[in-house]
Amino acid sequence: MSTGVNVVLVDDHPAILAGVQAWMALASPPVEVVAAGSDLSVAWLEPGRSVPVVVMDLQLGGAPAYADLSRLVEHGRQVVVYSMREDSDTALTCLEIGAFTYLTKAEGQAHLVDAVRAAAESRPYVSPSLAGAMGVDSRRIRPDLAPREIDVLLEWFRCESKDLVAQKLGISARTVSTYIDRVRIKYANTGRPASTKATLVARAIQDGLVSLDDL
Amino acid sequence: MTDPLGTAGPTAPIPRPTVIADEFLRGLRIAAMSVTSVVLIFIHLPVALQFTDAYRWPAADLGALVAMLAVVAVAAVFVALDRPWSWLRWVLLAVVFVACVGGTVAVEPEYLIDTPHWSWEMFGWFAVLLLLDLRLRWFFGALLGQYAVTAALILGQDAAHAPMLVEFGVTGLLAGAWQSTVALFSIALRRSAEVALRTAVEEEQLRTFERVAEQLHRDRQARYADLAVTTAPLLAGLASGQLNPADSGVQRACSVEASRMRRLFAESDDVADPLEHEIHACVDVAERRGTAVQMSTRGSLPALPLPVRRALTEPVIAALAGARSAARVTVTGQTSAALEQGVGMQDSVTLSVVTDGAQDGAVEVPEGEQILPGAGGGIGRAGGRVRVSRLRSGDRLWVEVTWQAQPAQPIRTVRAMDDRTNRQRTVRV
Repeated sequence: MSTGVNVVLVDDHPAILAGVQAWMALASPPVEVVAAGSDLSVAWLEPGRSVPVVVMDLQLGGAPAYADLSRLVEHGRQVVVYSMREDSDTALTCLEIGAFTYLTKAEGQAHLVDAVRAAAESRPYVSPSLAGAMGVDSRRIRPDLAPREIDVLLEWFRCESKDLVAQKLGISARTVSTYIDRVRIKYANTGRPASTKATLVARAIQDGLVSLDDL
Repeated sequence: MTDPLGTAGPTAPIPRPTVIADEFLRGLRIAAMSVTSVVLIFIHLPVALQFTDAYRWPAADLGALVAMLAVVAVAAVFVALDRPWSWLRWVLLAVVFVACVGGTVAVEPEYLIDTPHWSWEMFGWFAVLLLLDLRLRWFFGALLGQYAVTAALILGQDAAHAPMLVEFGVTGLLAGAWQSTVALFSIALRRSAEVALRTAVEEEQLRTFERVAEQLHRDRQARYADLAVTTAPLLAGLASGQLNPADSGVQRACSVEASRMRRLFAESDDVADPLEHEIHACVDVAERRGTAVQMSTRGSLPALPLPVRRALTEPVIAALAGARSAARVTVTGQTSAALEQGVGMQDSVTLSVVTDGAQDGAVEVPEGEQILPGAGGGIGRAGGRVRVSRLRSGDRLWVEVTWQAQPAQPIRTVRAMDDRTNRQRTVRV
């Protein structure tokens, strides 16, 4: 892209903020951190207010900040939730609210930078931990997934490498990505509507990832 | 193995301390009830109705009869329902006692020790019936108390004289002897019931101890057998100097054995999720060796029997032993019980481990599939298929072990040659 990718960081641990800022600076091309702080005010006040992509910690000194996430989503922000929480329910709840994606802090640099870039372009991004949550999702509101899609999700969760998944299943790494991205679009197309979800679906149709018939 | 008794077969329930005595007492109570009713209705009732003239106030005679019949009726209901007397016994006994005293006071003095004065002999039978389940002293106390009151009333009469008292003593002794015999008999029965109960409890405890000891012994032998095959030769080799501790292969073998031992110890822990607990034990050994292990679990895990858990963790132990610096271990499970949708899906659990350093050493994780029986020998109760797959890519080794519940054997048909007709036919497998 001609214009660089910008991001706002919200995390109540200074070391995490510093670390993520360093990762973004080291990325190639670098991602510019426009604002960073320990609470959500940095995302609502200038200069952060005009930056669409927000990386936020889910636990800002207390219970999961679902309400804050919801407000950001309502204002059309692309939120990458970056959390300590490993459980499936939290990841799926964030997705249901309209978060762009969900990463655990055990997932490192490459995943976070990729997720931020994908968010800036409204292209799906599913981290291994989120794929694991989707793969074992047993809720009634789960979208209909093909057995092959579930296989790909779970293998991605297990090995964290699309190349390995491709070798294991005898398909190309590109096909692995397509499977995973299509699942993400199916999720975006279920549950309560959100403008971020609509953008994701629209972009996917535009890119030929899914057709209207698939949905 | 965490529940030695549970696996040793169904344990006979230890009888409640009072059950045996209750059974005896119930029979005895019915017997006493019958005797009391028969004596009252067939012997004393006709007498009471015939000799109302022998009373100064005939109402006292009839009153005593009615009161005792009422007591018999109430007692019969209690006996029929098998309900304990509780406080009611004292009320009934008091009613009978007052009826007796009334009869004794009202009867003409010349009939004091004669057929028309029937009521005082009746008291003893009621005492047997109502005090049967108490200690013997209550029965004798009540009986002698009533005799004393009757004797006092006789002495108070002007017509009292020595022969009458002798006659009272003899009659009392005769009636009382019958009643005392029944009372004593009940005590004897209760004692033997207690002895029988004590013996039963002691025998049961002895059997329990034996079963626990047997199970512990079997567990120990099984554990030793597990270790004897793999750990003992390794230790012997190290001790004799045949194996070199500096050799990386020997180090890996030691690491595998350490994990197996840790898993063995973890198996006997009583935890909510034994599989995860045992995986943690295996991961722990790898982490001690300096491998950074990242562990993640997703989904719900079904309860699996020990052989299945071992089959799942064994390849993971081998793979972890070969890791150079990092490993990712994941557990994903699916239980049909947890599913809100996807009815008909099978329970399954997958353990996956990705390690680096695959080309350094020759870690052997054999691929393959085995079918493990569930508890009770059948395929049900968490028996099923365990499949191991392995993928090596660059320096990474990816091992996946999947357990899948065996569905009820589907009827499959295949085309096969019929030897006799030399034609293909469809065969049910």
